[in-house]
Amino acid sequence: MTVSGPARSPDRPLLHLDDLHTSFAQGAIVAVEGIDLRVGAGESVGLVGESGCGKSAAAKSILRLHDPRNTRIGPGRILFEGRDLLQLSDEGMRKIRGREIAMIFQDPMTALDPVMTVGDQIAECLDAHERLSATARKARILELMKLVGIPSPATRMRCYPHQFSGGMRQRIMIAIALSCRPKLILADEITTALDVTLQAQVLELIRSLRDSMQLATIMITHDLGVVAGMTDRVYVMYAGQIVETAATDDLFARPAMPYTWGLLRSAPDLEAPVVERMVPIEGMPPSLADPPSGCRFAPRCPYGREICERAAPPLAPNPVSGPEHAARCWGTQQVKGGGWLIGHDWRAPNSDTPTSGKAGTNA
Amino acid sequence: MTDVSTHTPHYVPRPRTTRGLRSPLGILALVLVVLILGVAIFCGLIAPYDPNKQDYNAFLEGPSAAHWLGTDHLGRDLLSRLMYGSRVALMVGFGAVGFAMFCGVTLGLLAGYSRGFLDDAIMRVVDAILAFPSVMLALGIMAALGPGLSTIIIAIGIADMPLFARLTRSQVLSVRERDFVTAALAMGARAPRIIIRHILPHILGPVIALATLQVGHAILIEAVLSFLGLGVQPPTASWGAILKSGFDYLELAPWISAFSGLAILMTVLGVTLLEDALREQMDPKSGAKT
Repeated sequence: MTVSGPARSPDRPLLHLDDLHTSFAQGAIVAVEGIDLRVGAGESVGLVGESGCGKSAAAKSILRLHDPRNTRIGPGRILFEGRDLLQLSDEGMRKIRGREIAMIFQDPMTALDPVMTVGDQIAECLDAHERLSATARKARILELMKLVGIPSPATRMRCYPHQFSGGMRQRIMIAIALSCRPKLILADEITTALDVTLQAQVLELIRSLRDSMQLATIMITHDLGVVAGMTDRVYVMYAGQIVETAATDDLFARPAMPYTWGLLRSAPDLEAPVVERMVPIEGMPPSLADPPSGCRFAPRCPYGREICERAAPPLAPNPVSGPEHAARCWGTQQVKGGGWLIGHDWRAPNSDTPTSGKAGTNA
Repeated sequence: MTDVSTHTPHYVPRPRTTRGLRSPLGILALVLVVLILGVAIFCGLIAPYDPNKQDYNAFLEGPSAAHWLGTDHLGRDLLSRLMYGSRVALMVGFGAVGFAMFCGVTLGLLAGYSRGFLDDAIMRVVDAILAFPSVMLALGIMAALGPGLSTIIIAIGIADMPLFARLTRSQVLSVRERDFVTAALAMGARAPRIIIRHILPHILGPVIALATLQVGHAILIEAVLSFLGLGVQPPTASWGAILKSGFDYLELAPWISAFSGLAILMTVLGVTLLEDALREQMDPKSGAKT
């Protein structure tokens, strides 16, 4: 279900995270470790993973929203239209925020200021970046509220957030993000706080706005259902690293590595006839303060072998799909001791279980 | 009260409560404060005598029909002097707290928002000021600046400022971590706008409660300073100075000190009770309309 849009992966991407690292607490906790992520102009990219795997930390790094006193962004570069955002001054960064790159926050209940009218909040970004007359400003607010489907905007713009429902508030958040016509929108778990029908409405709204305004988006989510209909390409993150990346179609058709399989199994899928139950991924993501030395997913991986705990696999192209499809898994790599998962159908029962089980049990 | 707008959701009418300003103590506080404010504003009209006019036939006289609260050692009408004294008390009370609140909140916002070096610098100065007892500090400043109404206001204001700075900073530290502040930052809002539009409104409640309380405190310090002879200079009527002058004639005319002390007590009590009632009133959990 690829969204038709502008050509993928142009020569120079709009945004390029080049080996980005973000660490907290004087480097003790590395939340983002060497991410390489590209977003083309008008392209929609998904960033998927469990809670605490570094998705939001990466997104906040792009806008440099972390507290600089305990956060270190780097080594690495964040190239936006060729400029490294990490080299910009604070004022230079401020000019990027909202006008070039905007962010939609997870929880519309807390991301709106309760003592400010929504009209003023929609104009926040306009006030920060443009000089508008009072009438032009008001016209722009009304236009934005209409754009995101809020009825009678002239009266509603004078209301406060508590007078809006959750779905309406998320629409307001979207209007705020769109207000300065940014080139890229970071949507951080925007559907998590909404119920299912509202999720569908909000996603539909984002999709139509994105197509009409030529917006590039990064959809950050733990919900593969959101990614499926909304993105061109997907990055799967685990424990601060990208573990698999592919075109969205390809990822769903031929997911390469066991963590992605785990995510797919644990997600409800309305389109496929569900025979098997949703299966959770056993265990918890590793502590980022002390990640496992080999493959980071190895302690939870039912397909693991001895090599997985010994060495960390690189992010390498998956031999089954094209070069665009890469996975960080020994099981997909044709090296000595690896490659046992090439061509493995993730829906099939784990044929590997009898021989390996947990790696190292009887080695 | 009732919202007639058709676009807003229906409000459940709140039950009438006897909390906050509607509680007996709240009403007492309002009566006291309104009474004193009224006297301060209208004393030119309602005072029976010129506060500085001497009646040479009545020195240290007890309460009588002509002089309801008696006269002092210069034959001046005590009631009129106390009435005019309320002006000084309230000017100092509100002036000093206004000054303290303005400086303290500004410093607290800067410290709490910037953190880092500026925060440390501001807060160490504030801590140093806080280390002095406020009366001692005000005394020192008065001694340096010389007596007078405006220096009293400044002296008490400086002595009170650290409380506001600390309270504000602590509130800012929690508010600035809230999502809507991050969201505003992410939209490119400048620091002054974030501070004034997004942080300041959320910290005002506790600040106003503190300010009300500090008005009573400032009035008390003014009385102390005047009592010590460093406050408002004679012949201007000040409660502290009247109380002090009554001390010399405590056996002959106890009513001078008694009534001026009572005026101070009523005012401070009224303001303090008002603070209590307001705090209860503004607490959303109390169920009273804010």
